[in-house]
Amino acid sequence: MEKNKKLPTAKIALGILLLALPFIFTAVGFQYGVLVCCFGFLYIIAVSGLDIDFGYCGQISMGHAAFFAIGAYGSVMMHQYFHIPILLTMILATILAAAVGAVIAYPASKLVFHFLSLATIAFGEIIYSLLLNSPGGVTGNAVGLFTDPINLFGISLSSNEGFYYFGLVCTVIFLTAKWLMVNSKVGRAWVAIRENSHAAGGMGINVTKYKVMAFSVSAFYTGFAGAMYAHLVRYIGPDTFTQKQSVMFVTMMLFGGTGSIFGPIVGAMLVFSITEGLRMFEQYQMLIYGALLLVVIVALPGGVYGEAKKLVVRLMQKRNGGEGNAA
Amino acid sequence: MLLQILVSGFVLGCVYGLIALGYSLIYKSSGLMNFVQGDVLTLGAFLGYTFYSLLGLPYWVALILTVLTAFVFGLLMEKFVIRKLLSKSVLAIYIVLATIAIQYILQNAIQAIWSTKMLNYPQIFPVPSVSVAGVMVQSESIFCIVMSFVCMAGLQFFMKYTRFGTAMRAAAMDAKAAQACGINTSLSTGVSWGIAAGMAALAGILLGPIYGVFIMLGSTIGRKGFAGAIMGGYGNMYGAIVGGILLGLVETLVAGYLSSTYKDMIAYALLLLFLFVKPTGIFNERAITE
Amino acid sequence: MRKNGKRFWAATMSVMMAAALTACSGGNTAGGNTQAAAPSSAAPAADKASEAGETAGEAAAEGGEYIIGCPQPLTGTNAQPGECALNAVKLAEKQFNEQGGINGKKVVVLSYDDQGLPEEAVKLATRMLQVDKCEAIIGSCISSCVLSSGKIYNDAKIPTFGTGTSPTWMQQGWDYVFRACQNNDFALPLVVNKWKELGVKKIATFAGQDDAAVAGVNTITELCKEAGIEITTSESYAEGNTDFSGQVAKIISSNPEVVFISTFGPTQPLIAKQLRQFGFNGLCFTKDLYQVDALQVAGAASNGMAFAYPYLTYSSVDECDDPFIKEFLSAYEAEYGTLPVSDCAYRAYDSMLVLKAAAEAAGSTDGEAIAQAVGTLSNIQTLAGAQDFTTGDGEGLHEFNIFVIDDEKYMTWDKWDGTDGYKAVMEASGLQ
Repeated sequence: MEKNKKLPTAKIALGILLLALPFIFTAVGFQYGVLVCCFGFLYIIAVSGLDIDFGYCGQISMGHAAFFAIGAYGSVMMHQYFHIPILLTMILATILAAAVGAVIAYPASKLVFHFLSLATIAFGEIIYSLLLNSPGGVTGNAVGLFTDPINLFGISLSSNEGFYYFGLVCTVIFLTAKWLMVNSKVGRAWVAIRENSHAAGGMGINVTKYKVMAFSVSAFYTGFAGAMYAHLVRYIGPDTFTQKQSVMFVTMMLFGGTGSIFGPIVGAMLVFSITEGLRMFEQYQMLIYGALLLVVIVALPGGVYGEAKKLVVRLMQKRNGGEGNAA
Repeated sequence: MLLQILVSGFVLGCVYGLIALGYSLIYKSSGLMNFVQGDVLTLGAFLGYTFYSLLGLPYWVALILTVLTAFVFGLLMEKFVIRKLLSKSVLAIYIVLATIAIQYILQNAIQAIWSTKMLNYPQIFPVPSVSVAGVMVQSESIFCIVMSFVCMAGLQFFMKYTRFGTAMRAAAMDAKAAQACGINTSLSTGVSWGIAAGMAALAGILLGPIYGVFIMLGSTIGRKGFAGAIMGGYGNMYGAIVGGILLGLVETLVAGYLSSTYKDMIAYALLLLFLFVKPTGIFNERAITE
Repeated sequence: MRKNGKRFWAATMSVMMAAALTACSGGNTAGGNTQAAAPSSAAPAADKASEAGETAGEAAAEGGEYIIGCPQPLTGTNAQPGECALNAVKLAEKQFNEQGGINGKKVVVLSYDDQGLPEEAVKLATRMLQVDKCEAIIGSCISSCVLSSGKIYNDAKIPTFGTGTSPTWMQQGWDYVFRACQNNDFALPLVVNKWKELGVKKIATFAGQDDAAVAGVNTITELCKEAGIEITTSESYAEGNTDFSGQVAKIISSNPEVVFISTFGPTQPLIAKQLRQFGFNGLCFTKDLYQVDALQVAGAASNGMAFAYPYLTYSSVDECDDPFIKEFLSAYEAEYGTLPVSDCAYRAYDSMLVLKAAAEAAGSTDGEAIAQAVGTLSNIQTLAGAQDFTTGDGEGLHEFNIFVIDDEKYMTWDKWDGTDGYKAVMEASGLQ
């Protein structure tokens, strides 16, 4: 990132590339790539949110599919039952997800790692069960709900290309917000809590408040990603919001590396490329995916981006004549 | 009806308890968390099917072979994955994710090896079911209850009264200090992962004749076992069984008298309640450290 | 052949990864060492993946091929029906090509694992249409996957045959989505009529929480209301559960004459065993076929289970007395060494037969022409008997038989009627 500051041209080039990508995909006859990118964007937002919670504040969540679901179902249901325009329902549903996140985070903030992960799993299961058996069938239960594409001031984003640009803008906004947050006083408080919550408390940081805040912000991110998902696929059913989805978020986060802006991006992109590459193996796809996952975890326990960064730092130290073994 | 529900809730609870024992053992001896238990249960059922039904070995031999195979599997898993990660002193979440990766591998390897077909065991006992207080219970279920209590008592004795058990507890409390005292912490955690896997496989071979053998046999039981372990007091051997039985009773009572639709939801809500209000569980287990 | 190849690569790669893992054992001394290990195992994976995809993309451009996409759940909970369906589609591919293909074009089936997830189904749909240029789809047996991807196929005017039995996905008004297997909504009235005939007054229901199961129980509830049959209790269970003692106790204490069971494969023997063990020996109806592997697992507890369905599954080819199904089963066994346990194999095979008939009737493989032609098809010989699509609802199957299990064997209801087994079950149900 420091490098990027020195090289604004690189940033501009990246920007142009991202803007031109759908045209490039179309030109080479791989429009499918646009859809993959659309999913990629929403996963980057969701995983970045999870990274705020875990990577910066040190609270694990194995139940973020619940917030993904609240964002998705919230937006679809508000649109369907109250006819609120979709962009507004997305924001309202996201706020709802953040609010639910805060409510659950308050008692959960006292729990340490293992217990927190189980509490979030239980929470995820409860939400999943509610989707399947909602009172009065408002969620469509097992059948699910159909919905419309995002309508941006009269322009309907029904094509994947349209959604691509919407997703791109949202991703930039959410990542910028994350960057601002983690480099602020709040972000420093989170890191202090992650490193040592007792010491942080001793320094006068209101640990509970900041933990709840981190959890709620991360629910906000994931909730928005859920709302994006709902209007991209235009159909939601409970099958999407299981424990498996929560594990997918965690996998992407750890694959890339935690506590950074780029880690979740790298993680989401890598996991996506791997699943696309393994499709040919049909019933052995998940077997190989599991093996690959295990190898990466054992070989690169800091995540791909995290380990690469470490390597660069070490190489720089060596070149500067510093003691390379210290790291 | 009440009696029937209580008896079957108790049977179900003992299955949860057997899985919960494994979780508690690993937590007590290494402070780690393992998500593979449910799938090792499935593996145990398939192994049992292979040894008992395909190879025609006597049931006792099949049972011992299954448990031993799973024990070795647990041991290897600890040695080649968990130990390696521990030696790199990674965040605990990476170990959790590693066990999830193993879960994927195990699930899909079982499918590749044994096919997706639902398999079945021949009857083990000459009498198919026994009457307990006027309620008919499958003989295998009775055997399952007996085994879970045997395991509980055996583990409690092992942890408390044997040198090896003491070493394991010491390793969990402070690995460095234990090592300084000459305790082989690597061996003790390895053995605890092996025993946990062995117990899950035992549950699998016991459940095979009751539920049949299929790929997803252990997935839900594995998760419910966790809930049982927490409710009883994570890390406590009595707690694991008692918590498991509590969960089994709650589930069947809810399904019988309240609503079967919300059965799972209520079970998980109960787990949340325990976590938020009394994370040390029924047995007030103090193994929880920050 | 291709399948074996894949198995081989999958095994090799897993072994390689395990090797990479052990290679990393001493790797924490120098960072660079461990870094090297992962890419070296990942890179060949990508190579093999592109090799394995030999039939994709480029082949389509040559012409003379008719590419059919087949997304099915090949891993996880629904791997069994998915695998059976895919096997049958591949068998049909082989047989069609031996007979000269469809309209002279070579049939190429591309299959993928949708994992039973709606998101994967959407991605696969887009991929199969845009990258692989599939011209027809034999869809997933999971309704949420068809529901999420159906619109994509329909908008692209790709003829699609779903292989699930839930009514829901045929109710979306998609003109290009068809069904060549049972719609539970068509078969269940037959069941309720049978109950009326038997003088059934009270039933209880037991259902899973997936789309097909819920739809089945909803239809039954409505039909019973019309027929004046009381529903004593409606119980359900969450997927993955194996113990239903609470539900069963409640069902039995509500004292029904018949129990309607709306579940999917692996749950059938569990609920059958538990109902019988707790003392209900009366008549039970399942939503669809009570599978042959369930029959083996539950044994005698399966007796008295009935269902309305077009066909049965068998544990050996000899048991089957329908010549057409027998021929299919022999071919299936010769190809895969085992018989299909899930009837999804029949459903998918029938879908291929109807697709072929439609393409031949249309005289082309153009999507629009095929979709038009499907509507004119009648008396198409399939495993499920003659299918007729002229009703205009996109459904081919409107006639079903009621089967029942007695003495651990399937038989038709008419044959069962009046036997000792029949009398015993009816007495236990309190219907005589």
